[in-house]
Amino acid sequence: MAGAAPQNRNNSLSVPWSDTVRFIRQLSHDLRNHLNAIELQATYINELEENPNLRSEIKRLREMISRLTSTLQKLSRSLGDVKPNVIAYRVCDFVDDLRKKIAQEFPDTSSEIVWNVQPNEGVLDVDPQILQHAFIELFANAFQHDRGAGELIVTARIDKNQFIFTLDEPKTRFELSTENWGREPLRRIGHGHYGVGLNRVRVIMEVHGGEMHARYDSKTARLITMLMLPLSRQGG
Amino acid sequence: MKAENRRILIIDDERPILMTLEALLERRGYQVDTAPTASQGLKLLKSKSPALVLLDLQLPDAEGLEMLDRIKTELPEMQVIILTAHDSLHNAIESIKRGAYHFISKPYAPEELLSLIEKALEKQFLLRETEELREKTERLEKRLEIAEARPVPIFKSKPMQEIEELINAMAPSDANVLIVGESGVGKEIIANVIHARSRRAGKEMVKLNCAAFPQTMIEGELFGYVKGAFTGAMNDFPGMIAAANGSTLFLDEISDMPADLQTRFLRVLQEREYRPLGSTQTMKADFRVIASSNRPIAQALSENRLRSDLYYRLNTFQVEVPPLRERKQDIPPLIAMFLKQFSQQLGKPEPDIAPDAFQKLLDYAWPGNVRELQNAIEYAVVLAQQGVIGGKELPTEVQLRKFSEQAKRGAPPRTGVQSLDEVERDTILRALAECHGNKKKAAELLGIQRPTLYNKMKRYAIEI
Repeated sequence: MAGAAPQNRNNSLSVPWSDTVRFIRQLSHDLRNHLNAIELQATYINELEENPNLRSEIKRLREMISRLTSTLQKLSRSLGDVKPNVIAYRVCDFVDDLRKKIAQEFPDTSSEIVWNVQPNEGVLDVDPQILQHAFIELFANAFQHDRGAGELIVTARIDKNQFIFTLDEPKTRFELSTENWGREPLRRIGHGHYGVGLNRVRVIMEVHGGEMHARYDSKTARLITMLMLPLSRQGG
Repeated sequence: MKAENRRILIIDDERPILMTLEALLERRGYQVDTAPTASQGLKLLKSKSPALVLLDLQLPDAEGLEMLDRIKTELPEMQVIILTAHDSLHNAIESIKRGAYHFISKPYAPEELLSLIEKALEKQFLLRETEELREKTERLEKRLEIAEARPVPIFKSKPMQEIEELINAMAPSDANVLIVGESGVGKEIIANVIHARSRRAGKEMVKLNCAAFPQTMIEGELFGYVKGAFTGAMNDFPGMIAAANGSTLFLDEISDMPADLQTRFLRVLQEREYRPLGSTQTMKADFRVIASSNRPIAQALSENRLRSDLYYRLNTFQVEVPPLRERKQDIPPLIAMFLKQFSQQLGKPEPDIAPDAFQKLLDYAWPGNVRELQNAIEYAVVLAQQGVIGGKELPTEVQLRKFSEQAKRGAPPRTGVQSLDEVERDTILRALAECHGNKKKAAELLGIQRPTLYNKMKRYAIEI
């Protein structure tokens, strides 16, 4: 899974995160253009070729391109600018929709989540699509990294004009600090994992005027992540 | 789908993509133009008129969304599909907001793009078809407006009822028709009705007034000409016969058509073929002829103004429209129709006609026929005060009917003895009629001063 953090971070060349993002996005852009040309060329050759063996190989090639495409598209999206199209969204509707989406995205593991939803009548001013993406990322992290034995406990409540969403999850071998949770992109990089997901969650919360905090309880070996969003002043 | 609707312009700076996509699309029968820059794309957009643009968002000389704005400003109906490797939800939403048909991320499955292209072209085709239908509807509405504003004949009197029966019987055929009658009886209106009730009514009737064109020009108007056929023929002109293809050609005042042209036209009627001036190409002619003449046919034939062979060809059916004085029953409905028409045109409420004025309209001989009646009602509607047309609002000729007609025929022989006052009153009225109501001229004719004439008119209660 995810590898350890770089050994000597202080000695590394200091590059602003914005430059790093520009670099990754440009690289992804160029690779996707090349892949597009290859995909088109493969389709064209497939149309000209009558040999079934060769056509089958071309099909396999297109499938490989498709997988790589998917990875690059995800990477591009996770680094793109966040410009929310805000609408009024009732908290209870948001939670309902989120539960359905999580069940759909994680069909094998979503039964391990215990939902503790307290009555919530507030309204959020949010971009539903972007916000849902942040929550899916949070659950993906929970299921993929250092998953400990036991249930994931979700609490959703309203307190002092804030919607507070807590994810309480068991962890094994958790050795990271939570002080700058989501502020350190590229911290954990591994095969198929590029360490930008949590950063994306934080950015999305912040553009909606919200916050993200995490705390690890070593005695119980549980990580508690808290997402807070302000309620709409008009709709409350 | 029409071939001209399958032209696609691809604007993308990635050469391998351009070339392969072009080949893929051409294999499917699309006509494809490619441009690696925004500026070249804009040029091709104007010169090639594609139905669809595939636009990359990152171009070397322009930002794609700005380019989309330019395309949509210049060609709002143009369908644009955005292709980009710089995808983001923001770009996708912005593209659609700015009028793109769709947004697709690179690398895309070519099948997905091809499906989108078909849908976009179908939309474009439907939009163009809708636009064409809208234009057609506008044209039809305009024609309907013209048709509604156009006077219609009144078939109330017996001779007009007989004419209507004849029209109903022969209008659906392709038989030629000759309409004769005095000037102003409504020959063109009868021709309109025949055309409207014919199988050719779907196309507008083409009219040529043979008396309105110099003789040297009628030939070109009728047969058309090719560029350079004669001095001043700067462009090809298809001519009236071509314009009347599938429709009706109405030749007004046929006896004013030059004799040699009558011979040529007769040949067209016989052979159903003609050749434009200066052309070597023979064209097919498919039209029905309705001709008219205000000259008595016997006179036109005897004076050789109308060739007898052309006359017999045109005279399959002859409609003789009687003068208005011979069908007084048509006058009231004609008056009602013109009152309505001119009130609407002038935006005035429809006036009533005072009984004495109505009687004058009925009694008048109408030498200018329906056209004169139409002018008289227009005149009266313009002058009508407080919603009533009285005798004073009628044209002088109508007011002084008896004396106008006497003036034309000469004074009638007197019978019995009249008082001097009666003689003086009649003389003044006759003078006014002869001078069309002009009091200064009437006073001169009577050899008296104008104030004297006014005094006498007042004394004899003559109001003009």
